[in-house]
Amino acid sequence: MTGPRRDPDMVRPYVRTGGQVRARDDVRPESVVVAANAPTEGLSPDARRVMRLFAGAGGGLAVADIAAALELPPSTVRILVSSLMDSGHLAAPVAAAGHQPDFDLLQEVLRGLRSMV
Amino acid sequence: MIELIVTAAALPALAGAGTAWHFWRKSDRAERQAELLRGHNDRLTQQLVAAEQCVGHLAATVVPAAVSDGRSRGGQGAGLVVPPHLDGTPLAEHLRALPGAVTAAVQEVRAQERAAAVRAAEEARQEAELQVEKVRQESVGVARAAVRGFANNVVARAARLGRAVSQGVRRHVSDEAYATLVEIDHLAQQMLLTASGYAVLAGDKLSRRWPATTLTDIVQAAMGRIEGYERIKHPEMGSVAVEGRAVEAVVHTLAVLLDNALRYSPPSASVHVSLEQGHHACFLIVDDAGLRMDDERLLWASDVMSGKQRDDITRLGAHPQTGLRVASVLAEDYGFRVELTAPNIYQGTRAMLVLPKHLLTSPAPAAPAASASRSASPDAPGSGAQGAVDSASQAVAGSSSPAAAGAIAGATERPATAATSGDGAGPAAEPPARTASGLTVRKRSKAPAVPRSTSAEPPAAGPGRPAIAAAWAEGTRRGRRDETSQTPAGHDAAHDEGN
Repeated sequence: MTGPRRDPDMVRPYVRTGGQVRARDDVRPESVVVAANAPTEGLSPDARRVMRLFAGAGGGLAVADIAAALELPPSTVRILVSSLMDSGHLAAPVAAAGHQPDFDLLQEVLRGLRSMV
Repeated sequence: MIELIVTAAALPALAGAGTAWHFWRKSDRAERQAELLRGHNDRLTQQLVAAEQCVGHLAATVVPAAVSDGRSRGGQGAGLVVPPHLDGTPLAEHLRALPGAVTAAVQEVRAQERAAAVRAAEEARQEAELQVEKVRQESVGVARAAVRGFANNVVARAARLGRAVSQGVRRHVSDEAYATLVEIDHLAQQMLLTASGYAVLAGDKLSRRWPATTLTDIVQAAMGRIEGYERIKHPEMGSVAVEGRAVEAVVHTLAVLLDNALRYSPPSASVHVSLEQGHHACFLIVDDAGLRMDDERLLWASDVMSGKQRDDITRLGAHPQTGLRVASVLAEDYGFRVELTAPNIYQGTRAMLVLPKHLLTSPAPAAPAASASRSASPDAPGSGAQGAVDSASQAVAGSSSPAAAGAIAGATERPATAATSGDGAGPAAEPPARTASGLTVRKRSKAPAVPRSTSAEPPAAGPGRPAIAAAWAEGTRRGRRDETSQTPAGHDAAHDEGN
């Protein structure tokens, strides 16, 4: 992220993803990923940019948020994140499914929204 | 008296006798004179006859012989045999000199003729050469114009195709669409490289403009324009950047060199790009592990690079050679240098792009994105993690500027710190909520809105916008519908309907 202004279209998407065109099915734009402890040596420049975001954040980031932050197409970021997950640099947050909001809470929210509309 | 008479008689007799003797002497002298004259006359007559014969011989034999001698540029011929009657006369000398003079004269005439012929031939040759040169120039001009027109057209269209594909890649998230678009893009970029190469050879400038760009991006941009870029290995090259005006030229040249390296190395071998920073210049080095260029080809390449063999558009070779010519033209136009050496450490060929300092810029002192993501992280404002996340989401929605990334970074910092204090209970619960809001916002407001100021200060937390609420309502409605269809008689669904 250092250096002069970037033109995001100068480097083509297929170069950023190293020729990969397929993302993992479980990586969607809305998926949240967290950084795992893995050395970032040998990663491609864009993979490193992704990892640097996590270094600043510490928590999880959505794929769409990463795309917005790096000004890259979401599809490209999906593939980048997929490879980073495959290589063990990123991981899906564990136990996310067990902590869904309470159903009653959602009901309350829905009621509130309806009253707004 | 008698004596007197005798004396008187004798005197006349004596006188007569004397006279008679005198005349006899005289006639005798005249006779001798006549004899002499006759002899002289005879001699002259003989000489004359001899001279006539000699001249006849001269005219009939010697002069033609001398002429032919002169023609054949042979030595002095047999010469003239002067009759002995003429010996010692000037005529003899002149006659003897005559064949030589004739030969010399003939030779001189011939020499003059020959010189004139040579001059005329030379003039004709020069005239012909001028004509040939003129015609060649004309044909080069015609070829140039044709290539230029064609190449410019292709360049313009391929560039537009590239932009359209870029937009498409951003618009379509589906895997199939992405794969197809990317393939099209790759082909369009290769087409663009070839076409702009021909445009440069036809005397045009490169048409695409870029801002100052880091070498890492330049290497990646060059990789995007060639086939087989997956085999190229390069490290991150720090913050060295190339001045905007030279970016396209450097990218193009590097693409050509990488293309060469890939073409001349086995399909399994990598091509390595590395960077050396010198005092006066930066060196981008392309090493392949292929067959090393033989000396003849190296010589040819360095001739091309030095501009000796590149100007004639009608004498282009096949595609790779064209690439080197283009690199040479660009290097001269933009003031960098390309050097080819072999063998390198892999026993292949090394190509070096020498970028002098005046084409490089120092990195921007503080890129806004970097400063934002660092300074914002420790103390993001907001009443709680949720508030910070909300504000971050709004930032993402409102702008795609790097400052938004900083805000996100700041917001997401909070759950992590909470996690360390709250013993792991907090962080897992936070991401889904954040995801829901973040995702909805991204989908609803795709178009980048008003760019925000890139200050390091994170945006203040505020109430959710109606759009977010509407999106949430839509989401829950969809969720309910799905649930209903899955468990039509379920207690939850009924309960929901009742409400």
